[in-house]
Formats: sequence, C-alpha cells, structure tokens
Amino acid sequence: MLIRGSIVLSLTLFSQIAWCGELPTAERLLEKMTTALKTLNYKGTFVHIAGDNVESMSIVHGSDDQGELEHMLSLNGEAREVIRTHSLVTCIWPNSQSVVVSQSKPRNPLPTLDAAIGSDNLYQLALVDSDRVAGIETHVLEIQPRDEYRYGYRLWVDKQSNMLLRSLLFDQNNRAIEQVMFTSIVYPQHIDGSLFQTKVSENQVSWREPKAIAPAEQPDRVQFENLPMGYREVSESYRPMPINDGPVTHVMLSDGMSSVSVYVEHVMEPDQDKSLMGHSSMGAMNAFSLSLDTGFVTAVGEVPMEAVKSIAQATRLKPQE
Amino acid sequence: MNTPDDKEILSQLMDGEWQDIDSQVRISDLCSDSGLKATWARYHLARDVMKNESVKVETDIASRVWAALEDEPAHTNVTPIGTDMAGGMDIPDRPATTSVPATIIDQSVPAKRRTAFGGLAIAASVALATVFGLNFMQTADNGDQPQAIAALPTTQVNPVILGQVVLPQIELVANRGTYWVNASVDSSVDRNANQEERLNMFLAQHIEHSPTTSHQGMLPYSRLVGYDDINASQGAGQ
Repeated sequence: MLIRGSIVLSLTLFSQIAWCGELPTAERLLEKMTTALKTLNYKGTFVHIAGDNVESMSIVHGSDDQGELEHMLSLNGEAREVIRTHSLVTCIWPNSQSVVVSQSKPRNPLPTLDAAIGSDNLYQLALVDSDRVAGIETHVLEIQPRDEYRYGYRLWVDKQSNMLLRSLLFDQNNRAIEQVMFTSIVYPQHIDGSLFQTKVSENQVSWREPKAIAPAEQPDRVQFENLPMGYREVSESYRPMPINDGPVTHVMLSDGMSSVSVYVEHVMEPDQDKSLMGHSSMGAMNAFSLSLDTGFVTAVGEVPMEAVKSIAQATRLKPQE
Repeated sequence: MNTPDDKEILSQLMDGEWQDIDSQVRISDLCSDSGLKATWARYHLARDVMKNESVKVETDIASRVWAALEDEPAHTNVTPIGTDMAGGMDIPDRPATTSVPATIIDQSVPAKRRTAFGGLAIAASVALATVFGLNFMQTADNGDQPQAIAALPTTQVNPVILGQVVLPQIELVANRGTYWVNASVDSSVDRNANQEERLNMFLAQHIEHSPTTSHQGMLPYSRLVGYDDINASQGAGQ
C-alpha cells in the first residue's frame, strides 16, 4: 500500500511557508505544527527521556484518506510496540506475551487547535529562539503555564516542514520533567503499508480485548464541582474496558493544551478494588484515585499532581433522573 | 671555544643566508656547542630589542630542543639524497633511548611505517590519558552525588587490567525503568501488577481519546512504548 494523501498536504504546507516568507506567530506555528504532525509522512528515530530513564525508539508515520497510521518500536530492552491504524490501537509487550487492542478514535485529519490557549490566562506563548535538532533548523516555541495546574512545553519545530522535532515538558519551577527528541528523521513520499502491521504471531501472545458486558442498569451521571481554572469537559463515553468486569464512564477534560481523563468504575463502595487509592505517577503522567459511595474515581493525565487530585476531588456521582 | 667562522655561520643563519653556508658544516655540531647557543640567543635578543619587538627571555630553549631530539624514538623518515638511489642501503636506526618495550616496536616494520604508527601511538596515549582523567574526575565526583542518586542500586564492574595499567573501577547505575509509582505504598517493594495494569489501561485510553494528543507529537505514545512491564522488570532484577 502506498500512502500518497499526505504529499499534497505537505506540498501545501511548504508552499505556504515559501509564500509567506516571514516569521510566524507562536499561535500560527502551533497550528501548523499540529497539522504537520498528523498529515506528514515521516520515519525517524527519537529518544524519550523521563527522569534518569532514556529510551530510544523508532517511528513510522503516514496518513491517507482514512486517517493516520503509526508504528512506534522501542529500540532498547524489551521490543515494545504500539501500532495505530484507522480502526485499532495495538500495544504489544513481548516479554509478558500480551497484546492489548482497543478501538482507535476517529480523528479529524486537519485538527483545529483551541485558539484560546494563549489568551485566557492559562498559558503564555512565545517564539523564543532558533536552534538545531537532528541537524535541522528549528523555531523554538515556549508555552509557559500561569499556575500550578498544568505543565509548560518547549517545542522545537522544523522551519521547513513544521514538524515537531523536540518536545520538553517542564513544571512551574522550570524543571524538565520529560522530553522527546528526534535524532534522525526523513520525510519519504511513499511509505510501505506493511510497516504498520504487527509481526507478532497470534499463537505467541494472549490477546486482550474489551469485555463485551452489557450494563445491568443506568450508571450514575458524572458531574464536577469547582474544577481547576480552564479545565472543561470535552467528551464523555460509557464503554467496556479489557480489565474491568463492567463498563466504565470515561470523561475527558481539557484546558486546550493539556488533558485529564476521569474514569469512574461503577461499583458500590464495599466491593471496590482500592489498590490505586491516592497518588500515582510515571514520568510526567500523574493519577489520583478516590472512593465514592457508588463508584471508584481515577483521574489520569499529563498534568501536575495538584491538577489530577483537584479534578478527582471535584467529581460527583448523581443518579440518573 | 667559538671560532670566527662559527659566528659567521650563525650570522648567516640569522640573515637567512642558508645557501651560502658550507654544506660540510654540521649544524648539529653548532647546536651542541653551549657557547654558540648562548651567542645565538644573544643575537636574537639584540635583534628583537632593535626592532622594538616584545622580548621573552627564554634562556635555555635550545637545550630543551636538543633534549627533545635526544628523546625521539629510534627512527627517522629522512632519507639522505643519493643514499637510497645509490644502492638501496638501509639507514641504521639510532639505538632507542626511551623506555618503550622492544615488543611494541616491531623491527620488521619499515622506518616510514613505524613513523606513522608512532603518531598513532602518541594520539592513543593522549586519548588514554584523557580517558584516565575523565574517569578520575567521574570517580571523584561520585562522592558529591546527592544521597538519592548515590543510593540507587548499582552494578559493580571489576577493575580491568590492560597491560601493566589497571583501569579504575566503575559503577554502572542500574536502569530503574519506567513504571507507575504509587505514593501510598512502598512502591519499590510492593508494586501490584493488577494496579499497574489498570493504570496502563487508563493511560492508553486517555492517550487515544485525548484532544491534545495531536499537538504533542510522539510524546504521548512514547510513554506507552517506554513503559516497563512490571513482571519483566521484576524478573530482571532478580
């Protein structure tokens, strides 16, 4: 399979740059970068740094008329893989011989970024400098948080293609928490579709797919009181998950740049698995869990601990009317 | 004792009149004469003062150059004109005066090739010295590490003996991996596989459905790929 859809879009992006011939604004650059991330064909190697842990990974990304395709592979240690196709997200952990498959979310091929990011006192955007990443000239865009409920971002964006080549998350004290950086990247015109197929044999692994258990009754409605400034509900779903016996309500909150998921497992308090209670963290990801009378609440997101804790504590469960 | 002829030769050398110097004169003999060396230094000092140039009094540079020549390895890449063409006569190497073991210099290797190898050897010795210096500094720095880092599990690597040189012992910081840590329990001891599995599932769903994933590039999914499976990491640690 050949992927050609992104070529036209790529040419459009390049021609726009050539036509404009001037330094973009921070907001405009962020929009172009987001579009490039979804529409360009690219192959490369990057490092993911979180704390004292460094992982090297390869990535192949393409897009066609139906959406994005992506294959990410860990190059050191266990050869973990994530493959995203139009309909499925497949996560493969060879050592534990497990493959987790979930439905892929339909995506708009040309996303629109929340224009309020830089104008609602949540973040301050600025083009701060030029730099080189993987031998490529980049703009450096800084998104500075204005309170303790979100991280800051420093983004290195390819001046020619608008591709994001390096990303650094930092906290309010300007301490780097997590970063990814390309060490090499190319933008091929065609990408072989076989690169997005898993090579793991079906009889080598155990497949874990969402349990198809119908809800016995209407679950409680999930509502929020006193969310941290800027966070608002953007989606809500009620679906089965591979590790739960019953469906889980999943509410997505976002401030336009960061997002937090709130999961509610609808189980009465005495029967709840409370092993997740309290604060958990992994790199820049934080989670906070608490127990309510009719459900167990977990907030997860790439935000500071204060944010997931405040959001979990703001969750209320109300019976359906 | 310096002769007038010797001083005349020095004067010619000062003036750059190399072509007028008698080819039979051995320059090395002039350099080895302490009186002529002092005269040579005075000539230069006088000329620099007359030209109003900055003067750096280097009283014994000639001696140091000569000492350096004495310490040169026992070979040369200079072939006297005529000798080689006359009969391919080998130029006998001067006896080695350095402490380099004989086994390092392969006498079967032609002089020209040994010169090249000598350059490599010098570069290698510089590199080795640099490595030693770096290791030394790293070892010295280890004592100043914060306690949290110093307390990390480490893998000890035994000293390596390279020839007569013992390389310093180094310690490799073990890879702690990337996994969920729960603040309410002693996570290093009591990590719960089911707990991690739940959080991982939540994370995967969050990434896939987040509206902000699209402008964070490869970062969101790299968190999943970079994730250490709890069973694998525990097995590796045993």
